Amino acid sequence: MHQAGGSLYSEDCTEVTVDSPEVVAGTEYWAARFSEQNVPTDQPDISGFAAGEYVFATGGSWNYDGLAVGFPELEGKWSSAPLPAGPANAGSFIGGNVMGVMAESDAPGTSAAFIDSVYSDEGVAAMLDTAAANNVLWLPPRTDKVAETHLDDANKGALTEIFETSVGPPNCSGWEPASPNVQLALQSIVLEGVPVEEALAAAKTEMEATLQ
Amino acid sequence: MTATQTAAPDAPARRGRPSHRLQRYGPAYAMLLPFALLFAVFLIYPLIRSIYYSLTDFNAIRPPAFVGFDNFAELILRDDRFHKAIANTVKYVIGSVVLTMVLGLLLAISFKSTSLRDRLLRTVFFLPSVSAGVGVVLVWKWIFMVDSWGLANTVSRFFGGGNHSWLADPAVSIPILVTMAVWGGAGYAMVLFVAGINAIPDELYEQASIDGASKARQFWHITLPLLRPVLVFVFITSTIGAFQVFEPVYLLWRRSASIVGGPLDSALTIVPYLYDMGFNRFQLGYASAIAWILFAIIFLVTLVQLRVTKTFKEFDR
Repeated sequence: MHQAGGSLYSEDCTEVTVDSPEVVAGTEYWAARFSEQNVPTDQPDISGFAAGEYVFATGGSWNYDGLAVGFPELEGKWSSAPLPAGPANAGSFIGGNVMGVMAESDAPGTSAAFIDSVYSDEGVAAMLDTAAANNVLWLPPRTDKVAETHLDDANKGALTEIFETSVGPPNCSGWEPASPNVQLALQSIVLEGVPVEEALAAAKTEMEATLQ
Repeated sequence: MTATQTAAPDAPARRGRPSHRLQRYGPAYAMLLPFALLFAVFLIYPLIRSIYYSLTDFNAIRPPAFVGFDNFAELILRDDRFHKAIANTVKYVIGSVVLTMVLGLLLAISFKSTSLRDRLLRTVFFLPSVSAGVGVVLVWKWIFMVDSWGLANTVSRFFGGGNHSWLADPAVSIPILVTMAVWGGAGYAMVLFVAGINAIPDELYEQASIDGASKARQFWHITLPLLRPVLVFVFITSTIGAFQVFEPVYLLWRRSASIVGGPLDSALTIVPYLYDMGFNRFQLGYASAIAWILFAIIFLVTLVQLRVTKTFKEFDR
């Protein structure tokens, strides 16, 4: 969707734009991967990828260490790379966890200090060390710290490039409660053959109901 | 008679003396007190509190505001996901309870004796009931993995089929849940049925044999009627348990924080939906309303089952 030039909401979060021609085009391209290239609709295990069973599959950053630890014989035979750019933009989707402080918090200062510590040089270094000791890749909230992960240079370079163009979920109030229903609408395209325009119209209705 | 007459006038006096009652029942109450306190704090109070929350818009952050029966009206009249969860739950309950009872009964009839073979096989079939629930579900998840090493796909390829995304196919979500429930519950039902069958006097079967009744006739006219209390018990407990199914749905299909019901909500049942509303979206008032609707459904179904059983008993007389 982003690569096709579309977005879920307008920039000021006042309008749902999930039915724009750009989003329709991007979604049609995405859905065609399942029908034309037999991409598995379920999230596969890393061993299937290692065995060369898929041309494309979705997963997460844990697969870096999954491959390194589970399939040492493949060392040097794989690497990550940014997604090819689309007609309008380059970039990938980037997820993660959100931390915030509630307005009703009894200790907003302490809470904010904790969040700061996660972003600090010391905090990032401590988390990276602990993760590396446990053979787990932890992607720091500061993308300039990717170079300090325990990945090899090729993967570090790819991740750095990916982070430069990646986009996260929309920062619009109402997205969180609407997102499960949007996912159901997208599933209906792949699993039930619902036309893309129809599914996105349904998604728009759900998103407008929660837009604040 | 004489003893009763002389003892009777003294009894109320003894019962009414507070010091005597305290001496007699005090230790018992004292020993019950820790449980009673925990029961009141962790069960009774939350139950009462959840009734209150079900009438509010409580979201765990802001203080709850009273909304009357809005949550119930929304659930019953307008919430399509809840309606889907109800439909899925009913399909699951019917499939799992009926098949568990039929298979449990067949196993009980087949392996009811005290021979070494029957005892061993009863142990084998009972094992799933005492296996760790989460571990068992993870094994099932492995069986239905989309990768070629998933057992279901291995079997599929052995018979000339291809790899299938079992857990991403809405058509097989409920059958997968039912299969897991029957596999895990039939052994437990079997043990109860074996106990019930072995309590039926042998003389009844001997008399029926002398009268020329076939094995099938003996089963329909002796075993089943005399097994009815056990059948009712297994039926009610299995039904209540099936309505509350949660772990398999959560462990097999949870792919992200916001999706708990599988592809197209095909595996969404009532309790996972309650979890989704309460702990993913923090609509705790709404989730409390779901919990009380689930309670009402189970209560009504159990009442109907007991009523039907009573009718059968009266009919037998």
